[in-house]
Amino acid sequence: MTRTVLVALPLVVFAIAGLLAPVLAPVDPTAVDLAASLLPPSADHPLGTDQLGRDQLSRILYGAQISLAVTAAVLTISLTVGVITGTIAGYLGGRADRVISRVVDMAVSLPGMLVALAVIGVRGPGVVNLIIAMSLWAWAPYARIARARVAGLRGSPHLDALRLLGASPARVIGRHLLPPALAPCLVYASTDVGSIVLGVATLSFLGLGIPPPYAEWGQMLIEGRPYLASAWWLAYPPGIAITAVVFASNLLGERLAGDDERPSILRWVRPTARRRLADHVPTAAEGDVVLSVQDLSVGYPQRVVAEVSYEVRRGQVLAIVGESGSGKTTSVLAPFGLLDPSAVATGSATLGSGELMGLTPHERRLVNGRRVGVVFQDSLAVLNPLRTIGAHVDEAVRNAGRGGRRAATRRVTEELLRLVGLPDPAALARQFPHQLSGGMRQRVQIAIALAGEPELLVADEPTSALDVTVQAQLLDLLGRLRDELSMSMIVVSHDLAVVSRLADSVAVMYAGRIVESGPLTTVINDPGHPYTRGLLDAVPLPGAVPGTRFRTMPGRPGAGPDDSSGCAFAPRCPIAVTACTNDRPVLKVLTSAATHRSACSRGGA
Amino acid sequence: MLEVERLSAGYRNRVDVVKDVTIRVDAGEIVGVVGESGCGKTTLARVITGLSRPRAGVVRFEGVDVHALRGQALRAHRRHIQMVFQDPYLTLSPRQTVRQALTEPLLIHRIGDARSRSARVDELLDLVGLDPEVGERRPRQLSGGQQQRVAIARALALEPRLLVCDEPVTALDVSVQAKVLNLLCDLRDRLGLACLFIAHDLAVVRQLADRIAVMHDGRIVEQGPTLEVTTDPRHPYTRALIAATPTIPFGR
Repeated sequence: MTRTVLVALPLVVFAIAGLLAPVLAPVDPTAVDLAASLLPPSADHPLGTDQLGRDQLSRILYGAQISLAVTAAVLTISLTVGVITGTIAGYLGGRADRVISRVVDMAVSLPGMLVALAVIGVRGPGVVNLIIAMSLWAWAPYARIARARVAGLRGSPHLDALRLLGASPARVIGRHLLPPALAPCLVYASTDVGSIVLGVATLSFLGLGIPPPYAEWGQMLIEGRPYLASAWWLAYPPGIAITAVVFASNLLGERLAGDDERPSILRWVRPTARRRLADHVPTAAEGDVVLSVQDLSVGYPQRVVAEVSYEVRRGQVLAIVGESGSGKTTSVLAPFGLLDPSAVATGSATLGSGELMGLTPHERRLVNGRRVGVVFQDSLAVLNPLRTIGAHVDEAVRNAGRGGRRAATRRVTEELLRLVGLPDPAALARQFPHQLSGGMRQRVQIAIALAGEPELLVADEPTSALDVTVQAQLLDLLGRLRDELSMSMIVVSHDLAVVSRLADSVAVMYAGRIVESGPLTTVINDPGHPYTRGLLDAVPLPGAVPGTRFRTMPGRPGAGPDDSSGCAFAPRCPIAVTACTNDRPVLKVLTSAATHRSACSRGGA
Repeated sequence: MLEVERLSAGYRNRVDVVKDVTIRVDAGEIVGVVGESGCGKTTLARVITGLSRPRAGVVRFEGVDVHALRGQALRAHRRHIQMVFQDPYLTLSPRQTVRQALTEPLLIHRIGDARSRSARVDELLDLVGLDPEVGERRPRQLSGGQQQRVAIARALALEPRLLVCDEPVTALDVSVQAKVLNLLCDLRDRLGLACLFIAHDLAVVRQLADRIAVMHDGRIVEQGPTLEVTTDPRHPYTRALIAATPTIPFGR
């Protein structure tokens, strides 16, 4: 924020100088005093005088006034015309949009300076003509920006909702479309200030802008040019003024447009995961453990996942269940370095016998895609819309080191597509992601994940965006892969009912911690933690009489793992006692099964 | 109250996505429409609310053809049927506070003065179980469940008789979904609100709806009282849908 103000400072000085020129200027900028010509800077004339003895400081200040006036006028005209035209085009769509867009395209492609020269050539120099000439090419980008913004909003449901509420088109445009369209235009305008000031100076420099005797920066430059060697104070001050304004305007525009989301190079340079020595010695008892995660914590830098431990055995499916924001996705992606670079992960994760935490990018590539495959929720976002399905899978096959010549790679690709149950792989490989249904795209993602013949498949909400029938088929596919390839899987979901079709064991997460884990059937039939019980109550029952209310948990989902010193679920818990808010419960083994653990101080009462 | 008769509709000149649909909703009744994405559920909802026009057939509300209304009569009719959309975040303007969003429909229809509007907003927040302080927040500061409550509150601002809900809980967590569904049941009991509840998830619909219509490929393939449809499905598609619906295998 302070830096934005700092960047804008020259612009503020420019605006004040322009507005208050008559007050600030020591003398009349047009007062000629030939006896005092070409005086160097002194107490009387802080910036000296020119060849006609006029005070340079006053001329600079009045120059700012003219630049400011022209800039304000041009911006007002082009913003108004541009935003209104663009908004109308975006709102109407169809034919009107096409016609207006073509006109805007033409206006944008015209070279601005040439248009200005032509207009002034025909109409002669002068302030009004200058404004007309510059507005003629300055409006088009605003129209384009506004149109894009409005067209993007046009199909959005909130306009449908407004229409249903009976809002008139005037209200929809005026109250709901113009303001969002105006915002990016204002950001652009802050950059435009610079180019308009520069344009005015350039035209005046060429003798086509503001005619003498009015003071104008560009004109001062041309007048000072012959004296560059003998009287430097003539050309330098206006030159510096123009540079400062243009520079500040560009920087400000960049800052406003970038906001805080600008990716910083520093983030990529700074090491994120602290390296931890592999102190994990595999023992005979856990011979079939494929992935073992111990005491994993992830922070940004405030912790979102705290001391999470879980393990996946060969040929078994572990489901991680929790509400959005409970840290379930973070805990499964962290071991594979798939989080935002700013995340700090600590703890240990061993795949087979190798430590995963703190691997270099090169070492990661030998694990990800080869020993571990990942499937994400949004298949449309994962697949590149411009590449065919075949190209995607081919690439995965080559990355996994199973590729060969083109035809050989494609054969592996087709084999993979057949494996995930897609019909006619050869034809499908030539199609693009948008031509496939959501369920088919998700199968393609699985095929890509399987390219390296991984030991472990990580699926983050793989079926949440799909219809129930498609979801059921996909879950069956995952179950088949587990059985036929004896593959291990981690499936992340917010829906216990969905994963219960597939999972062997389940870990329930709440506010960044695992609150219960164990074999699926035990957890479902004999939940140890009140939160798990609450989740089970929220699932619709097949035999319920229509209109039956769900038993719900009061309150809002928990926030971070470190927000309370006690149990994060205590404020919503039906069986909480005072002790629960003070002492944090740890995972304890329950009597029902050796691997069934629950973190409840009330001992699963 | 709502009668949809032999309705067909589609996009512009393309093929119909809703084919020959007949369905009715009585006062105070919740009717569920189940089907997978692309089966025409959303188009049906848009035609019923008047956002889209049908190619054939009529939508009658209290005996009046909805699509024949124009001007003032249409504006007056709008108050009776409101809609709740799938993604509450997209249906709320990110620039408005909750209070502004809830006042908007009252302003559009020039209902009351500033004070009575403010009182009505408090009433609406209370009706959907939100704290008054939530009124000062903007949509992105709310959880998904709260956003959907706000969207429901806004739909209720004009005291509609029928609420068309298009996948209102699909974007929500299971535990939050349960609360929103309870809210809809409560509203029906307290306000006598009728509801056309559209969803792809049969598990949700069968716990909520009095009657169910199963939609497949633009047509309604089976329709009847909920328990009848779910326990004794006639159409093969209904059977497939029931088999695919995830349930928790208690006592396995």
